[in-house]
Amino acid sequence: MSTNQLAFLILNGLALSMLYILIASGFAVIFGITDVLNFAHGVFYMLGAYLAFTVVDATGSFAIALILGPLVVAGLGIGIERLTLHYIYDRSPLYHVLITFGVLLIVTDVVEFVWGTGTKFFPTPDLLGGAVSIGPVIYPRYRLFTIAAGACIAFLTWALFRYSDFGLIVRGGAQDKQTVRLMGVNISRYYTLIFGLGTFLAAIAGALAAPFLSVNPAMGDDALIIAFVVVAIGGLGSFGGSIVAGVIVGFIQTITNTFASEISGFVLYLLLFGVLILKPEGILGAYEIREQAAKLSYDRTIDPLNLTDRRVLVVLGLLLLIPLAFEGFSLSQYGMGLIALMFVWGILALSLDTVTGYTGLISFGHAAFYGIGSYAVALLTVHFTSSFVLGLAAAVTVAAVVAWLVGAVSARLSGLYFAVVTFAVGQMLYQLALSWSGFTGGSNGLAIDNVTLLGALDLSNTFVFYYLALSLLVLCYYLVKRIMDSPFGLQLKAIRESERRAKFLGYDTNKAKRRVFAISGAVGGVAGALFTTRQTFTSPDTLYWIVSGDALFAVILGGVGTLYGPIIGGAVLLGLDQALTIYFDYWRLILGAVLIFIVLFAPRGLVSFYYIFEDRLGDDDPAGGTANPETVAPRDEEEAVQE
Amino acid sequence: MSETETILAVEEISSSYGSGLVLEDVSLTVGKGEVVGLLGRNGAGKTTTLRSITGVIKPRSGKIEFRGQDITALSDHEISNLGISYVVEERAVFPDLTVEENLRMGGIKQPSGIMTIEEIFEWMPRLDERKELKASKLSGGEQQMLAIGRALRGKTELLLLDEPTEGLAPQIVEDVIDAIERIQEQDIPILVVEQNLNTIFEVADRVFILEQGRNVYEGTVAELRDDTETQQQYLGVGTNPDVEAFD
Amino acid sequence: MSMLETTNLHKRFGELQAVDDVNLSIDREGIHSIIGPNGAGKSTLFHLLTGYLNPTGGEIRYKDEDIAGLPPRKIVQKGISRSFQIADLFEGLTVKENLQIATQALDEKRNSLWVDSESLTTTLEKTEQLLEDIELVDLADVRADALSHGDQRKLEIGLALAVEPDLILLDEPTAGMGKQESVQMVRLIRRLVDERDIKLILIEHDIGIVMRISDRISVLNRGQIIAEGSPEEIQQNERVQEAYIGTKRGEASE
Repeated sequence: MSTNQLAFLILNGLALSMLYILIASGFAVIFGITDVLNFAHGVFYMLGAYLAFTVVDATGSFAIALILGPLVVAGLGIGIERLTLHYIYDRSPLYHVLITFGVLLIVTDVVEFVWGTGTKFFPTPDLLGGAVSIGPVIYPRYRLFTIAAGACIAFLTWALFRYSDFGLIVRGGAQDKQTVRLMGVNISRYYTLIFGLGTFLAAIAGALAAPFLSVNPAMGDDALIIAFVVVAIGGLGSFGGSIVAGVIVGFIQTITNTFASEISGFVLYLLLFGVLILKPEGILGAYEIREQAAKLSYDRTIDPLNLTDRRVLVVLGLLLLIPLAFEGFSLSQYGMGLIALMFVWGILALSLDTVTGYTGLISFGHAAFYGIGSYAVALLTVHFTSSFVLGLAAAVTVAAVVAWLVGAVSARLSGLYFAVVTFAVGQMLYQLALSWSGFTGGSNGLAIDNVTLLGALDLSNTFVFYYLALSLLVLCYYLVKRIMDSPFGLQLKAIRESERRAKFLGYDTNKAKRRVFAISGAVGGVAGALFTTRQTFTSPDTLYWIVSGDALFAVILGGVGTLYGPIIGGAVLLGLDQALTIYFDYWRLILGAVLIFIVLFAPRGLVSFYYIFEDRLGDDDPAGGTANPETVAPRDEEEAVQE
Repeated sequence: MSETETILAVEEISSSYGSGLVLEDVSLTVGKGEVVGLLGRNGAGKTTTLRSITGVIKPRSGKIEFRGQDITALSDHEISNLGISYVVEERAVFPDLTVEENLRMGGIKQPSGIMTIEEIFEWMPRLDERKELKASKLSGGEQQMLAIGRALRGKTELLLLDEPTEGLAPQIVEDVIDAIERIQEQDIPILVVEQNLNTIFEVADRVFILEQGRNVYEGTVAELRDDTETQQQYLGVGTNPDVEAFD
Repeated sequence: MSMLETTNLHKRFGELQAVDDVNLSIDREGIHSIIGPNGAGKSTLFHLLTGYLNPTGGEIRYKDEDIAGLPPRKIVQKGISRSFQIADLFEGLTVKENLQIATQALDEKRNSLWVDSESLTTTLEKTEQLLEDIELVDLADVRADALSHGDQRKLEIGLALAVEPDLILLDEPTAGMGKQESVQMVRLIRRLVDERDIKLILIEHDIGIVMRISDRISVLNRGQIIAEGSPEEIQQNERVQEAYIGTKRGEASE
């Protein structure tokens, strides 16, 4: 490699690093202070780029765009925080994640509505156009500007935290909220401001990136992933860590892009995964679980229903009759197919509920097991046999094994670290499916022939598939319910309520977590296998983190921790999804609003409406199931655990 | 004491965490320039009383007045800005902030505090020597002094101290007692929760004893000093057991 | 022969020497109490003995086996159980479920995925028995977080007893209770451990109670054992008086 190339590589690495630092620092700031993993970070970045585009269009001034756009986005961030997160900081982080996921859905659609889905060409500002020569290298002026601007903004942000009163308060607040309040500070106002600052940083990164990256609705996703990876490597919530990790990731990306671009995405996740295994707190982070905040607890016990419950039997009876009743109607094929897919989503949500709702572990990577199931059937059909039974067996086995491994590496983590590791695993598999195109078909995915059941029944027949999916749903529910009723199931509840106490009773809680993950993975594999069988197609999309987000959405929508609630949630979510698509172009916006509404007002989901209703009819018990954490126990006297 | 002006009046407050009632109709007063001790065994509700006064938890019923103003419904930061400073039991210095930053934090919303940072350093030279260190690097005694210093950096018209000498070496206990006396000389009233009876005997004017969240005793320090029966019954510090119930 | 023995046990948290060179030797017979002012390191000592914290240095021998550094569940399986000063219950579950989880820990089918947990008759019988023993039969179906403070303390003891230990460490079981309630609680505890022939190590705040029920007492102050002996010996010990009531002004500087 010539000096010339090397210099070019270094400059490119620097430019990318700066961009990554900018993207990640806002995310780190918000997490570091408020403990919120902001999944809407990417869409704020995107919004920054689009607003800059519009302002430049209107005024012709890039300078104005660089200031005005981010300010507008910060204002939006502040508004969102005040209306949603502000009220639920004391709840499990599961709910914070879902609020920001809802915001993501809404903003994405708003952007598509306002600016369309096409890629916008963002002209390089005149003043910063062209190239300059630095020694032997001729380098685009705008990229140099990015390096300088990025360094400036990162420095200013650092100085703000280091020297200002504002910085002192938020640093103190991150360590001990209560004591800051006792100094006379209304800390909740600072939470709002921090959210504004984080979104401001995201938007300014978007505006800076706009001239040399494409401006389109997919850019938000890319930025979110980068933010996630950089911040997790650097140390969750560590501003310094995100700078160090931004440089590392920036250079590694530049190098792999130059020499081995096909694996560059995968290398990123491998790096992330490696760091999380060796040093879960990240390079500069401090591993600290805020136990109280991390705990998922319910103030109302809603027990799973038995299959023999009269209400369940009535619903099952109706579901058995539907295909017969619809026989002959023109919509029957479509309608039955839709209902069958609702079953599939019910199975996926059930799978997630075993770990998240029942055991209290927030998994943000359940797409992994769904995708594995999906690919297992596809690959088996392409290469060996079209037997559904064998495909299902492969799907269940591989998904269970991978899930067991995920459980093994992440068992010692809790709270959001757990969510981050599962997220990383899911995305790693997604990148693997994209990169390993010889095996997986890459981004084109795999199309397969029809799958048959027991050599005789063609599963492309909607009628047959409907009954197959329904039977598997019932079977999965039966098995999971039975397992949850076992001594092992009782252990899982114990882990959710107090893992420490479970350990002090002699239980091997890590082993229990591995096992429940394997069970959950197996059930997720069933859902994936059914999906591919129905669609005769699979693609990396089945492994994408949006699927994990939707699965969590389904669990909350239906009723977390109840097993049957999530099935309802999965079915309703898919049904809404399909129905809204027909009538509205911007249906994800409606879903996002539904999600935020559920999180804020009915945290135990749809099943809690039933109990609210029952309570109203019955006596005047406090209605509704909320999932607020219990009031912090009086820490009256000693108990000096200082770890 | 009746002729002195009442600074703090707690009137029959009841407070609770979750389902259990922790305080039931607790009342106490602190007068101008007074040091009042709040005593009781572990879990009797002393810390909960301080938390209720400072707005960390809201009493379910009852009333708290500070300088004639009803503060029952105010939030913790508003109460702090009125001039009630609270040094909690765990000291709660910010471990990752430097000593100097910790002190800055004390006056961050109340710049006209009792003392400036320079005055605090003059008073506590050990902190001055360590001002660039993170607070987590300080010894327990130094952290306690830092917590007191931080409280005085802010507006303080009433100081609440929760077990200020807990776990400290006798030497350091002396320093803390000196600090309390110095504060007292400035006419700042103090409400102190303390287990060490001799410290109470030394610094306090009056005491209240709580048991199971209720008032059970009120008197001057001199009265309590002579009343070993009360000491035994409510504080469990006597060494002559008079418990009939065993065997 | 002593049942539990520590040699030069240390625990540091940063600058704080929470447990400082503790040498304890605890016999199989009788009730052993550990007393000391707040912040003396009593709870930290319990955390070390039960594997919740790892010692910075030193040895812990239980029945002649080194258990320092073992995870809590291994130590429980060796027969040492404990309660926490702030009750650590399965709050969202009922009293009965709490005890069932605890007794189930000894059932050979405790890890079974397939049998119904309601079919483990021995476990269920033990659960019922324990409910009676800790006097919570009437509250069996109440969620733990809805119990009164005193009942939560009882359930905490119940959880610790359920694993049928040989040695039980109770960390201030009477915290937050009045004198009368405390006395009843201690009586209950004494009855329960006597019936089961369990060695009891107790952290207790009320000196009166401690003097009455203990066979042996160790006094901890600032991480160190400053005295050990029978209740009579402890009562006469001046260093103990000092640690408890506090130093008189002037004495400290001498």
